[in-house]
Amino acid sequence: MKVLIIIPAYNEADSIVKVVNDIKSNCINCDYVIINDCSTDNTKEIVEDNNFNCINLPVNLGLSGAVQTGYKYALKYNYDCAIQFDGDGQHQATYIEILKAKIVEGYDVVIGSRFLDNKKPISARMIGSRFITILINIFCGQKINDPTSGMRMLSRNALQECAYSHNRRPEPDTLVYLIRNKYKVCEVQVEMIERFAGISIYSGITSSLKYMVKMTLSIIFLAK
Amino acid sequence: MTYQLRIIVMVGVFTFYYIMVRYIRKSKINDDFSFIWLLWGLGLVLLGCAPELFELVSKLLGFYGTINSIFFVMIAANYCILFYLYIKTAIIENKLKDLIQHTSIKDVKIKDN
Repeated sequence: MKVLIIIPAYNEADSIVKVVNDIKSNCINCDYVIINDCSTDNTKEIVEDNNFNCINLPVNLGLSGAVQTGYKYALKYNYDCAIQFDGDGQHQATYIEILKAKIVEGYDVVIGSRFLDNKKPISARMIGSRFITILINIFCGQKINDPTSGMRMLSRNALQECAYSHNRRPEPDTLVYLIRNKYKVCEVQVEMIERFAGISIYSGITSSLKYMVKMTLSIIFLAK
Repeated sequence: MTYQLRIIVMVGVFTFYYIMVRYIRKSKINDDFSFIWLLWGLGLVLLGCAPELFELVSKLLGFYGTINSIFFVMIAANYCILFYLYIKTAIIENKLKDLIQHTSIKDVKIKDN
């Protein structure tokens, strides 16, 4: 089974080498591609100096645009599945084989979940995560413990669904859409490490609130 | 509506039409978009020529005054135009995104891990 690891990277100069080295040493049967989302730091130079596989976007498309570029690439070059893998060093390549095994079992979407066996900590961000979990449960009847996890592996069928639609971004509302449309979604327990460089795109209160409102409306009204 | 105001409206509309047609002929604007504005101008010409028509229509529709109905129509038309432009912008944005992704992917080949 051909697996493509998609690494969306925006200003990840401090972490990208470590991420790719982790993949190279722990996931030798998988291909990887970095989607450099028009970084303003020296991510591009670092990637070129190290001769890493990279697609350089000429303008910043945001996380969803970058990941979707990877999906399109995976379909174009006939990969059987693709996994979104953060460029900030939070994800560990050792779990990719476990997620891949679930795709082989017949699942369409496998989420690398932080909270399948572990309890969610109490923080503002996790309250939001719990709220989305409840919403998904209400609207789809399936409990997704870590709906905001960025570590998601998609089968070729799911890739075809997500690569060409502009509203199928790598977010919880897409999970709702996929579950409602009879795609098989499951979670696998993974450990994630704290980011050691860069900042999250949802770090501010305003962007977090905007995200929550957008996700809530999208799950309730749009993801059908 | 006074005759002076009618003349001002007509002069304004015809100037607008003249500029619009010039731009279309020079291919500076898309005739799809200009169609909406030509219709808008036509409405203003009607208002200038026959304000009685608006009075009649607003009475039939149950508006309190003619001016209320004109404002209502203008605001509603603006909403329609805004929504139409929003859709057009979203379509263009999506096409642009597709184009960027397509050109970026085009010549990239993965090396063996």
